[in-house]
Amino acid sequence: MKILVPLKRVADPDNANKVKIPASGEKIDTTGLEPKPNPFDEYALEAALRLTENGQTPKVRAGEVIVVTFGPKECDTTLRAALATGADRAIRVDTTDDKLDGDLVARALKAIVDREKPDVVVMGKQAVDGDSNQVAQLLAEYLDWPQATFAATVHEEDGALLVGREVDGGVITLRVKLPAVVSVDLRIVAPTSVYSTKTARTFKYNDGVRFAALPAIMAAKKKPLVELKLADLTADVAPKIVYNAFQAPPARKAGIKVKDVADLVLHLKDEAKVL
Amino acid sequence: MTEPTDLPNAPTEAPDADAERDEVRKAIRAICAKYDVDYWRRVDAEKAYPAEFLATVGEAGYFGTLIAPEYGGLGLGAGVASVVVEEINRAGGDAAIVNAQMAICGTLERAGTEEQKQRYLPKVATGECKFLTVAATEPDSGADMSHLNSTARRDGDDWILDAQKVLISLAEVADVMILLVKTSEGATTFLLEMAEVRGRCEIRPIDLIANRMTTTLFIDGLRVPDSARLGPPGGGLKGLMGGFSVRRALAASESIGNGRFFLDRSLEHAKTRRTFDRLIGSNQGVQYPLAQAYGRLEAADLMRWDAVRLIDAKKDAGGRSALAKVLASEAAWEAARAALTTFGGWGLAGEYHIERKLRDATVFVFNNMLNSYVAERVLGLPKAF
Repeated sequence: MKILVPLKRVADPDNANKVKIPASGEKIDTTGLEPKPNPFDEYALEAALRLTENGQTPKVRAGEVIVVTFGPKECDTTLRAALATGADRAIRVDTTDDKLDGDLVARALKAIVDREKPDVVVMGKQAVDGDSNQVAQLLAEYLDWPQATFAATVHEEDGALLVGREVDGGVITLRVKLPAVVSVDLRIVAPTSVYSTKTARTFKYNDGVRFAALPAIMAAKKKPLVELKLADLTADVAPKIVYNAFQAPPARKAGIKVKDVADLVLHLKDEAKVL
Repeated sequence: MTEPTDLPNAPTEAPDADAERDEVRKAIRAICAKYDVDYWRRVDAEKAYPAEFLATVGEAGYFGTLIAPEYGGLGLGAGVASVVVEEINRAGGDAAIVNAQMAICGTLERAGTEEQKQRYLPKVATGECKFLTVAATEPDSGADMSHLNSTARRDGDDWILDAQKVLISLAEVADVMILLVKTSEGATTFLLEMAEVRGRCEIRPIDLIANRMTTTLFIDGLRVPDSARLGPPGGGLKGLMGGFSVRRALAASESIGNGRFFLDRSLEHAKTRRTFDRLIGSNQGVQYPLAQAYGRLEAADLMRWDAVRLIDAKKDAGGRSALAKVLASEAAWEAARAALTTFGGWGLAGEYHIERKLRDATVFVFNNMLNSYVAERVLGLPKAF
């Protein structure tokens, strides 16, 4: 199986409270925050690796995973890290975040899919910086492929994927014929979430994403990483979304202390008007 | 806090700026994030062998960092190995065993026969063979390895070993260890396969300040074949000393990791803990020790990278590595002191992890031999002994 995994580099999501917005409101300033792979994309890579191997012998590849990102030269480290984790080749589309929106990324990804002809695109359900949650859906539409979003489980079948989607109140199981687009949620990296046809259903993976081994880090330097120009993928490189201004959410006002329950009820009735 | 504190005005170009080492740093941090401070607190409290952590590190290939590719390793430099141990300690763990498994086999790689190297090194690289200790120090001579009481004498094609060794780390868990004894030719090393030896020698735990699984080791009339001899008779000290620069550089890196752990934790505490209606980090009594600890650590780190540079260039790194180890261990000790000032009484509580790492850091502050080395070899002073 051949799988395309789009990866996005985001500002350290664990320190998202440290982003700043300059007085001009023209952008979100992430200076000083360490760039990291979008966590959902790391989960997508783990799922793709599981689908292209026998879990018992993970060092033997049984398929191909191609990672692709959109960004400047510095994003090569993100791709190299993905190659060290197990991906087979990488593509970087040279551009910067401020020149992109979800629709443009989806159209460019379609062009890459047309060239690479993967059996499935596995991607994070959303990037944790913009939280747009639309590229997978748009890409499936442009490709006219079936889509299964927010996947918590994926089991490979002959020519199809059986995908468990966690929804309010339960799990919807979809059988999508290949080729298809799958976007993944957090639980896709649980020990029994993903099985290729080669992996025994009794096998249990370690919880979470796999670690890059030191020999693999060294070997990743020799894996192919090609750079493409955005204009080579799509003639129309104008984003459809224009950001006019950014502003921080207003600071929360300090609360008040009430004397007793009667006082509380009074405030809820007269001020909050919820009673 | 799993990520080391990012300092707002730290130099952008660290002395170890190197894409390869940065990648290794990130990769080892990802492993350390899984084995957090509470894991290490439990291992310490139980005086246990951190088997799960070591299995993960072994699977990820780190034990082969220094071993040549022809023996199943990666043949990477001391710089990569030093980053590995630094990051484990900086994350609040204890890199002692990883350090040992990466570096002690260097003596075997330099002095061993081809057969010995093929037999052990590939399994050391995977972690399958735990090659963790050198039994050198003795009850009467301490670190004076030129006056050994332990002996090996020839008996036909074999050797008969009699040894009394103290302060030996990890003899209870090691699969293979190096034993230093005296023969008629002088100090000589042997490889002991512990599965065979363990029932035929006496190993007793020593209760130590830090969890080092330290023991005494008494061997009485143990017969071993000549194929167990490591290097030529009389060549034991030379074989061991060939690895001293790397071991000192790694010890320095462990100390820098310990020091940065204290600093990371202290800065976070100083920036969030309020007493007397103010952040304690605004008190100069807290600021100055932290600023000084930071300065000492950075200075020691520069010396560490200079030592690594010389080692990786295959030049004499004796003096530089000795200085790096002395400076780094003292800097970590001062950083621990600054952490205690910052944390106050909480620094003594297990749940803040300062007291545990303080105990780990004490292991490195015995520097008499290194100061003597610097005095004699670098400064040209007369021999002290």
